[in-house]
Amino acid sequence: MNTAVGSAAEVPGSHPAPVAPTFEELFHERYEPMMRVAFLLVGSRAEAEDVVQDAFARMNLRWSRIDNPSAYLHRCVVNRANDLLRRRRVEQRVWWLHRHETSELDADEIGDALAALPPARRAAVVLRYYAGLSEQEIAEALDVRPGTVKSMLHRAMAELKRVIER
Amino acid sequence: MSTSSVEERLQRLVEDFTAPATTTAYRAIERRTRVLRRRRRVGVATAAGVVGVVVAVAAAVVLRDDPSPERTVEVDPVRPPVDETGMPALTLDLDGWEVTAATEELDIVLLGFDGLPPPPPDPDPDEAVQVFHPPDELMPSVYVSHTPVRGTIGQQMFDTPVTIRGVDGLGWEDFGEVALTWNPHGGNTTVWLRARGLDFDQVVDFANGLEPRDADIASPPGPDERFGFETTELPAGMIEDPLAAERPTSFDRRTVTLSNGTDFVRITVDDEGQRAFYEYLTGVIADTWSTVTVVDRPATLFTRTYGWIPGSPVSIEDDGMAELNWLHTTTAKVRVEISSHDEDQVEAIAGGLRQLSEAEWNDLLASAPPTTTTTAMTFPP
Repeated sequence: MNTAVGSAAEVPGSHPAPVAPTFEELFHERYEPMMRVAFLLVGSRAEAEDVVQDAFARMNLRWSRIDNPSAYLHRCVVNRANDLLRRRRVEQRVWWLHRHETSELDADEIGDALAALPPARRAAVVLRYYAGLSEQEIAEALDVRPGTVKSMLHRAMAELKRVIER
Repeated sequence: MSTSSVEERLQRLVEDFTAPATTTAYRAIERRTRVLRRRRRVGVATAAGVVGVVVAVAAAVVLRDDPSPERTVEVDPVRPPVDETGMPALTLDLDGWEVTAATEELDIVLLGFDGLPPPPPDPDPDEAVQVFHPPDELMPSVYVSHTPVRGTIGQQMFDTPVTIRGVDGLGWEDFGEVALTWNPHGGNTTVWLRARGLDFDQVVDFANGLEPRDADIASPPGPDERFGFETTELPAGMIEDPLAAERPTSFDRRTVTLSNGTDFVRITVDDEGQRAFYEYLTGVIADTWSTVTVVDRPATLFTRTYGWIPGSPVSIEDDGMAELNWLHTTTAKVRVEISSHDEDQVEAIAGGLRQLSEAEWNDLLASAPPTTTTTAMTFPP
């Protein structure tokens, strides 16, 4: 019997890597990458943390019933991020102003352009071009058909290009 | 702009962003898991006799005291009376209360965030869902889901190891709800069982009495292998309530809102079906549960108050609501939300609910706008 989130005495980490990862192992492997995806989606560390921890908690709750944890995580993170973006749609462009001063100009441009995209297209771009997911995997994460993903990416790229070249 | 350029720029956006998988983050996830779990499972059957009801605890005590708790299941399933008008509508006839709004929404479709219909939340064509409760009450109740295995069972704090028909499993009890999970069929399938109004031992006995419909199920399951359980014997007084096939892809809804100047009552009727009804009840968070009779039908009454998780700084906010739920017909479910916990008021409201004729409903719609004809609801994750 595998252990999901265990007792308070357990300290995550230092497990040998079995064929099927435990919840702890997946946490160590995927937490930071998912934080980066969430950060690109919501633009705030605190909110990214909220989104990702919520996704892991939901996955933990259903751990024994999930056959593809990575896909489940992506779907949860995207859904929670979109929830959050819906709530603060008005503010969605503000976050980029607070980025580190060390950011390069290019990064600011793409960040602005990314923030201007509708949430679903933004998620498609981040999952495709940052997380490296296939169109099929993105379709599963976004609950849309693969053909829709293709269309979303095409439109998103066109919008990114338009914003950056403006 | 090329795709490689996008990739590079996105990488640069987060190249200085670090978020290591720390123990602190892990503990935060642990806490959230417990909150989510309680939100899905909290419910206490209390002896607070509201509305002159038969309380679930009393039913549990009856079962506990029964010297021969196992007996042959009754044949006739629970079926609420079918309303010939199809979609019913209800109102509240009570002095001081006036209708403030009445709406009718047709063909409601749950939509994904991108405006497209989502797949079922948990698509699994093999899943068998079974519900058990007494013929004339909704509690004690047991909800059983049987699916192909999707992983191993993860033990968490406070879980209790159990053995169900020789198979190791886990159980837990949160505020009166007992839940069990185990992987029968040599680990090829998974069972989730939730019960209200029964104690832990009774639920384990109940689970041990479930005879699989198919003794052998492969992983993945073969086309002729059947999920679910035969229910030839159940605890005294309980029967299986056969569920209608599946949730509809769209449904209609009639809503009436009333106010007495201080509190409000919202009566929502929809034809989303039996399965949606029981799934809703299994996911409700509340701190008191009881069974009542409303409009001659068995109903549940629960109240939502302050929730607190022992040993945790996490709390669940009080929304101060009482809620009645029942199946009015084979497809129509009713939810009555009351913005008060006051027992006398809740009792009066439960007694004042009345079904409207279609003519009355049409008059109400005409006199209490707004009315809509089509609605799309965004489906949350």
